[in-house]
Amino acid sequence: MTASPAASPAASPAASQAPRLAVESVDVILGHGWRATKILSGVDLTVWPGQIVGLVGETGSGKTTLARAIVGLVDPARGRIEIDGRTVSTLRRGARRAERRRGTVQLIFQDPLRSLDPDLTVADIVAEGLRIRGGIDRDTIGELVLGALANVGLDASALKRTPGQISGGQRQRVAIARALATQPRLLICDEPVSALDASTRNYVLRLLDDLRGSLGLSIVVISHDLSSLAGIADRIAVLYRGRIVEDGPASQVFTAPRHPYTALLMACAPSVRHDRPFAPYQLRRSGADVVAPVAGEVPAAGGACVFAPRCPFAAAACAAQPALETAGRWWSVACHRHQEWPALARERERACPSPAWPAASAGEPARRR
Amino acid sequence: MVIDSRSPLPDVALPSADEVLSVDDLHVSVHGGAAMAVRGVSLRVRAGEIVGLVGESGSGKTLTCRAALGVLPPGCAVDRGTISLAGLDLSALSRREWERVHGAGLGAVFQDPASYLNPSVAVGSQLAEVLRVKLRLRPRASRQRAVELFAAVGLQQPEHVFHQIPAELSGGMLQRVMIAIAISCDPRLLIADEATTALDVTIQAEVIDLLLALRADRGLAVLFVSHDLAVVTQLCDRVVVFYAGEVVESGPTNEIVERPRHPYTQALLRVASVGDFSRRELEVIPGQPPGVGAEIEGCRFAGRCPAAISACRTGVISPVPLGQRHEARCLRANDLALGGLVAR
Repeated sequence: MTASPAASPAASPAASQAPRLAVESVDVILGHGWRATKILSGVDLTVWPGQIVGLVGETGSGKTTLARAIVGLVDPARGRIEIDGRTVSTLRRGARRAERRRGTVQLIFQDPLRSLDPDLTVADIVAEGLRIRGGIDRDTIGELVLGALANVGLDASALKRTPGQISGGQRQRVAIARALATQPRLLICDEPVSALDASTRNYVLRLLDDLRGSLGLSIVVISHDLSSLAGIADRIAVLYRGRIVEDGPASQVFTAPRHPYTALLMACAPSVRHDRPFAPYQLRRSGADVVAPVAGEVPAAGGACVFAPRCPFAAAACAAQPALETAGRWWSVACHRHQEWPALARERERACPSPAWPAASAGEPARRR
Repeated sequence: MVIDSRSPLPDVALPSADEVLSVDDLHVSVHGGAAMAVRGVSLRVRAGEIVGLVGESGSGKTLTCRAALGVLPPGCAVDRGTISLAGLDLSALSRREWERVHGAGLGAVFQDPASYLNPSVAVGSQLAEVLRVKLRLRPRASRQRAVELFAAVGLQQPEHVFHQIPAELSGGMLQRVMIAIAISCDPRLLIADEATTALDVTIQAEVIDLLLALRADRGLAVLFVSHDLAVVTQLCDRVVVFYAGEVVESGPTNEIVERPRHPYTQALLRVASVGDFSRRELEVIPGQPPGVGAEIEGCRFAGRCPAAISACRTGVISPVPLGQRHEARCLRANDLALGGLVAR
């Protein structure tokens, strides 16, 4: 039941183009000796020019570590990271620093109040990257700063303010302008909107979408909020415990998710409407489930499927980590039972009482006293 | 699981009433009285009802909760208005009386559970301490009751969790511990201020299910504060919409979602996560909310309202009743045909 590949043009790149970012079977291990923890295992991610990729996962899934690995703040233990065909993961210290100062890849963080220096004016914050790069005279820097601010919808009146004197949405726009000043080709946004109100969130997301169009930027948006990604992302990659479990065109992944974890994230995303393919209880393991025994809470590499301990559909086959297999055009999923689980989920009965709305008016609940 | 009932209120007798919390014409001033951040808020929470307060940051929803809890930040004060918990007037309580109300009358859960727990003491001991102090339980009974409470909030292996320190638990588990502490003295009302905001969506959905189960099992009334309208509509029976220190609309959730009568509520619905996951134009509300305590003639939303007329900018706009416990503070509430989500 493959959905029609009616994705936006950026979702299916021309064959002649080289990917802007290619992450190939990257492992990241943090800590040494007995403290060493494998944060990412075998992560593949490709971002094409002008594409917005949404990277989704819960706390501790490795989203931020992947972002840090891409910008060179963490060294992968295995695998390769290429930006515009140039391998950056093996650069030595000096070359790495030169690469960073060039500003090809820029990072935007969740909380602009913490990522912006409270003592600097907006003008200094945006210009800082250009000054560090060096070789640009003051007038050109001034022009580039104004250009970057204009790109995010701010004017010269903001230049003399400090981050404490502007609103939350404006601060995040300053953070984006700071990233844009060095004319990057790849923007990595780590939870750019989760600290913002709904209206401001939509404004910032729309801004990122416009920038992709006007500047031809490639953008990776990290978020745990699937519904906010639905508005802008061309592709969705879902991380669970350091592994990509599903990666495909946003329109198709959101229509018919192939991995039970993606479906669980979608079912749990808060929504004003109640028309979901599945309800959370159909995808959550409950006490009543009898499932095949799966070894270990944290399976070792090559062990059980990472999601198996939480998956209500785990079977004997899930004792081995599934490889990413093709589920459609530009679409891959790592699940042994990706064909069977949707039918099983539909059969699952509700174990807990029904939610308040729309049956809220159905009498007073029983009081204990 | 229903917890064994002992008299949870040893010496405070709360007058019984159907309305657990009633707030009338509440005014809260900030900056030592220089500005009015909450202006004339009235709301009611009935027994067993889950009421959601929703609004942008700075709209006064948290200050309203804090006033009800008697824990306003320094520089803030209740200027006018009354707050009563099941008939007990909270505005005239002494510090000692507050101590009895906290826990037994009101429970509270906040956004960041880790910062409300002692990082070096086992979470079970922290709950047992509350039971010993508030309910005068003996140590052995308090430990037993703590384990029961942990089981009641859905923590797996409660005996094991009892001995763990906060750093060993995940955010969702810590929030469950906080809920266990908040309901340990069987309060009449649980105030949850952005209680699910910092959690992952999957955990957020579980905490919402837990609150619904607690309501079903124990008839717990909940005042749930969130900036996310989508979360509020999933959990709450009634929604109270805040804008710039005022309640602009309140009513049953399905009324608010399907037939919003205030232009701001409608705007909030348009920008909320509608969750259909299809690619769509992301909408924004034009303009900025007024600053905290700004003095505005007429309707406070008029500057951003697409339907504002000249009459909106003069005088005092009072709430217009619109049927069963539904009202909107809008001059044009009756002549505007505002589309809800379903109608759209």
